[in-house]
Amino acid sequence: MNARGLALTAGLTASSCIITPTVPHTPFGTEHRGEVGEGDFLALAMGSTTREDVLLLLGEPDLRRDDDRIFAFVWDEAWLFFAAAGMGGGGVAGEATRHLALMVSFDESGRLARKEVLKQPQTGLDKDWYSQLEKWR
Amino acid sequence: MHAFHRLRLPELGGGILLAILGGCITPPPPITGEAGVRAAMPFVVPGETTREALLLRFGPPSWTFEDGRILTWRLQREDAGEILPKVRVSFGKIPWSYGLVVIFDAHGLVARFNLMEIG
Repeated sequence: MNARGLALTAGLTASSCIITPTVPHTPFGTEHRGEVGEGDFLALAMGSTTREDVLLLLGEPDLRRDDDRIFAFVWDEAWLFFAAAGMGGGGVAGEATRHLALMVSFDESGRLARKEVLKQPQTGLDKDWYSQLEKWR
Repeated sequence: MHAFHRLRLPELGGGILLAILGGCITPPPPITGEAGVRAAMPFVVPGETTREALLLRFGPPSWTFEDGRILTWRLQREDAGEILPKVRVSFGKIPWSYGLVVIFDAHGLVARFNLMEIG
């Protein structure tokens, strides 16, 4: 194939396929909660916010650990959109997503001792992500 | 003149738009603020509603915290606005999901509660 043919083939192929980064957003049909916003994160005060306050603010956690000393609130974020058209008129489209989690821990009196947002790498594996949640202290 | 012939372009366009929108899914209005939560859950009254009343209405809680002092339920809101226990639904009918968190006092009465959209 000469250079002109190669360019034509590349152009035709590229025209039927779109891969683009997107503004991070909650993907449609997610099994998890919506994003835990910055306002909610800031509302959690170390040493004074109780386990009860956290549950009333964020709802039930997605993970409970260490006799409820640690909660994880997980949500998903779409970061890449892709679409491709097939020769027969069909096509596929979708979003690449990653997990995020607000981790909180409580002291002996049930007050907030630590909070942190964990982000799965965009190309990270789920098993590594859940392992990270299990190990968080 | 037959009614069809009196249709003008805006009316025709409106009809087509209605036909298209008929296939859309429109979420119910969001529940916002304490007043919105109270309006959506008029049967939950702090100091009056008992644990038993909520168990009878919603069934077993999804989770229990602090020896039953805090219970949570996963609920869904139907198109008409009614809030029910979350169940599996057939394809094409998407419920809006909510989480109910209820704190009970020492007498088993609701002390505090919140309802939040969770997806």
